[in-house]
This record gives sequence, C-alpha cells and structure tokens, in this order.
Amino acid sequence: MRSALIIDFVLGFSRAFFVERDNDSAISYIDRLVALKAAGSKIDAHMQVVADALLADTEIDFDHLIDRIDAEVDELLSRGAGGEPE
Amino acid sequence: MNGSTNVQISAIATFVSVLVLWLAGFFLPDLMATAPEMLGELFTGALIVIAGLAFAPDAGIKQLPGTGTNTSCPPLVGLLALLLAVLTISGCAGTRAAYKAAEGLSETAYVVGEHYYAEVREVNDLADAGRLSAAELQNLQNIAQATRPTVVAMLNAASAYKLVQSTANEAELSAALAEAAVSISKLVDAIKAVGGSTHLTTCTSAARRTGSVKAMNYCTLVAAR
Repeated sequence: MRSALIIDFVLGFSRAFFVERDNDSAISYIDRLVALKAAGSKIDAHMQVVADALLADTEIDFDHLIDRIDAEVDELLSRGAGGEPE
Repeated sequence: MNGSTNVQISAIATFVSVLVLWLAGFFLPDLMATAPEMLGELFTGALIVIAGLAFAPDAGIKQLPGTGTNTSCPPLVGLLALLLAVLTISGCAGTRAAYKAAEGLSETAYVVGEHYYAEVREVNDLADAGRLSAAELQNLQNIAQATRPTVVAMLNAASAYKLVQSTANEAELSAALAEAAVSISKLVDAIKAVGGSTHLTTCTSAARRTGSVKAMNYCTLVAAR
C-alpha cells in the first residue's frame, strides 16, 4: 500500500513537472503509465481472488467461468469502430 | 523526451546493461537463473540515472553526434524507467500467487482460464476508456474471436478431467492447455502492442517461476513465442 502511494506520488509529481515544461510527449507517456498501472492492478486483484479461492479449496466451477469468458468476449465482439458496445 | 542527449545516454546505458547482463549470464548462469524479474530494466534505469547525473547536457556528451539541449533531463528519463520496472515488479503478486496456488492439471487450467478472462475484461475496460484505436480494437476482436474456442475447449477438457481422471483425459487436457497457452500469448502480444500492459507479459513470465510444472509448461510456450 505504501509503495503504491509512493508510485502515485512520483507519477503525479512527474506529470506536473512535464506539464510545467509543456512536454506533451512525456505527459502522454505518464498518462499511459497511469493507465497501465490501473489495468494491471485490476488483473492482479482478480488473480489474487483466484489464488485465495484455490487456497481455500473452493469448488471450481468451470461452467460459470466459461459463461463469464463468453460474456466478455461477446461484449468485445459487439463493439463498433467507436469502441462502444452495440 | 527532450533532446538528443537523452537518447544518447539512454542508448549507451542500455547497451552497457545488455553487455553486462549478457556477460553475467554467460559466466554466472546459476546466479542469473535466480535473478529477480525485470532485473535488466532496473539495471538499465539505474544506469540511465547515474549517466544522466554524470553527464549534464553541456558536460562532454556534446562531443557525440547529436547535440543535447539545455531542456533535456536524462535523470528523469531514468527515473521513469525505474518507475516502470517497479510498477511491473510490484504489480503481479496476485498473478504469481494464483499460478503458485494451482495444484494439478485442472486447477492450472482454471487459473489459465481466469487469466484469459481477466485479459479480455481489460481489453473491454481499455475500450470503455477510449484507449483503443479502431484498428487496435479490430485486431483484438479478431484475436479474441480466434482464441476463445481453444480456451473454452481447454476448460471443457478440464471439467471432464475433474469428473473422470483417466490417462486419455489427462493427455487431452495437457494438449488443450498447451493450445490455450498459445492463444493467450497471442492476446498478450496484441495488448502489449497497444501499450496497455507490459504487466501481462511480466506476470506471465513471473508465473513461470511458480514451480508448477503445468504452469511452467504453459509459460514456456508463451516465452517461446
């Protein structure tokens, strides 16, 4: 948690630094890092839940997992060129 | 970043770190086999910071082709490289834990399936956030459409294996797991091309270190691509 706060602080500071210098490429790079961090965190949080479930010997439901995969892929495939689900 | 000095220093530091790590891997293979993930990136980032501090924009580096500017700031370039390495190192504990927790073929298949699900969900999130161009979205849609059958087939095989554990079922699941691994690596490559997640590659690589034979097989396939 503390390291996450430090990383957020450094990202925020770096962004402010480059905004001050009007360095658009660096700002864009930092924005991408922020997006990366958010996306990675969500995947990792999900996988941690999976790990906890396995360690707790929770019954594996393959059918439910297949349904969830189908729903996500269907949602992805339904997106038009603008990115919005149709 | 600003100016060509940054490029020069980054290139020199990258070359030196590649050379040093290659030499270390050649002469000390056992030691390097135990090296942490992203060691190269950390080493390169540290070198860039040191080189950036040692070579100010007007301190000798100008003798190289491509003169730097006064606005260039190499230490910050290195700092960002270090930050990226720290992000990716600290960000995949959950993924590593999941592969480590998997025991046996069916649980490994379950973790691989959940990983695939999380990746596709990330793609949807990136699309919702407007971070995908039309071409990137189309590419990811094509890959998801092509890879879903293999992942679903793998999960069906895992479900059958869970009910009846036979040699035939085991062989079928092993083959399906290998195919699903290739499918996931395609999706990972596509997301990586978007720039949305080096995390995925790092965590896939991290899973290779879990000790699970099946996860290692899966990740070896990914790494071999």
